Amino acid sequence: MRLIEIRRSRMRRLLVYILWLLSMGLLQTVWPPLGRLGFKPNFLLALASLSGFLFGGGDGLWIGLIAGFMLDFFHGRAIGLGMLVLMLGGILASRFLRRRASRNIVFALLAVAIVQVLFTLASHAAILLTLWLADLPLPQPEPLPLLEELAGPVLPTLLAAAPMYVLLYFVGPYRRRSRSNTIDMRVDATRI
Amino acid sequence: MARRRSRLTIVLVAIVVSVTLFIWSLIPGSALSRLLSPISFILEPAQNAVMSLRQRFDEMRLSIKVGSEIQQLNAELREENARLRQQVQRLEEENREFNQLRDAISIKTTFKEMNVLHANILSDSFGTWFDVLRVDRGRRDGLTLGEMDSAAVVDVDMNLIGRTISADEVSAKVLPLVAEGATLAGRINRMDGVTVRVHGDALLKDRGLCMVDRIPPRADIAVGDEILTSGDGGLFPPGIPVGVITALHDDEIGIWAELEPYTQLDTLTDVFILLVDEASGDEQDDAAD
Repeated sequence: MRLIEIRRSRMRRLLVYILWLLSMGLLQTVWPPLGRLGFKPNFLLALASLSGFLFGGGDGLWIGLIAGFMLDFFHGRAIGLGMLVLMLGGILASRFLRRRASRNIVFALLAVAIVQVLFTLASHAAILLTLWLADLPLPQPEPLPLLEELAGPVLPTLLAAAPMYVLLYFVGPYRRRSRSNTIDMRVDATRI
Repeated sequence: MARRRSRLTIVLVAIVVSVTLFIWSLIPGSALSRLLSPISFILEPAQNAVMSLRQRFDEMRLSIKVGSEIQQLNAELREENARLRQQVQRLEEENREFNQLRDAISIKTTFKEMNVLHANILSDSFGTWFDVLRVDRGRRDGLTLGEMDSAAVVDVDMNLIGRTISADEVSAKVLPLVAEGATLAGRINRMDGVTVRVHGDALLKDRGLCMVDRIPPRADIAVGDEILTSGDGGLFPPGIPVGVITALHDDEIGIWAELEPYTQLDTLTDVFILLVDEASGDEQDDAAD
């Protein structure tokens, strides 16, 4: 009986995550750019970070890896960078202030913002590598445009992450009862 | 302890896989794109459906917006009606001439030696590095890219958009000209026009501009000059319009210019891929022999 229940919950988790990944991946491709600089919310990054933050490192790792692959597949120049950064982002979010911040939307958004900034930095590093390989002039670092590039995508991603947090919490891959037990146990264990 | 070790192993394996895939996919003409074809087969119809929904939504939104604007303008237009009637006759004549000209200079006849492949955009660029356009044409449509191959991509007005960087069975990725790292050999559209290098730049990209450098010191170049592809390097056929020079600078990095590409990436839905027509290439080789 218990085995069937475990299997059923695993199946539910798998199906819900597939639905989340597909819908976020498709939303990512069709969402129009916002503002003067054309920033788009990074739905897949928000999903990976929030999965890690809400449901732990294992979920963050796998969802980050798959979400990163989708990002690379749809938009990336090469496969791999998105996978690496989103996977590490998912793990980082799961470790982020976890003693005090479990199920706290403010800290969840802070974790998403930090992962978004790291993602932008990694993208720029990849671009610098490309320019260096192609023997093209490297851009002169100017503080204001750099700050704009770093901070610009954060707000759209946070706007997307806020409702996503609520949805993941209430209609996420785990039933509320089972999830709250897991999280409480994790918090208790770290406190002990 | 053992569980932590196994989790660490999973993370390390995932990092190694990601880095390996990254390096593998950076190799020109790598087989990775072909391996990813099944995913494209599954995702392409869904993406097409969602994209067409978005287009319908955009059209609906646009029609509502335009409708309200038309109402506001209606009063003013009545006053201008008489004057416009005179203009309409002239415009109709010009329109007729324009259509004749457009029929005469179609894309196909412009590049007789090229195969022109129409494609729809599946996903547009977003952010740094994740800035490629994905189009719904791939290897099954004849878009086979070898190790050093790339195909030029133009818009409906024959203006250069960029080049293909990879292709799987049903889709391909296009690197736009404004993206950092995109580069081409250009020529100023004059009888004695010099050859220059056009490439994407991190700072100019935000304004939708490209950088033009390697301009010879005494070159005759001015704001308003048009840049065409020169054909040097073999990636792009010569004569494709790229854009117009909007500013000239002379500083510590030498003479360089800002170029505004003709193509507008935000409004792009259809693109054309220029493929080398092997049959016509063979004919030319035979003629040369």
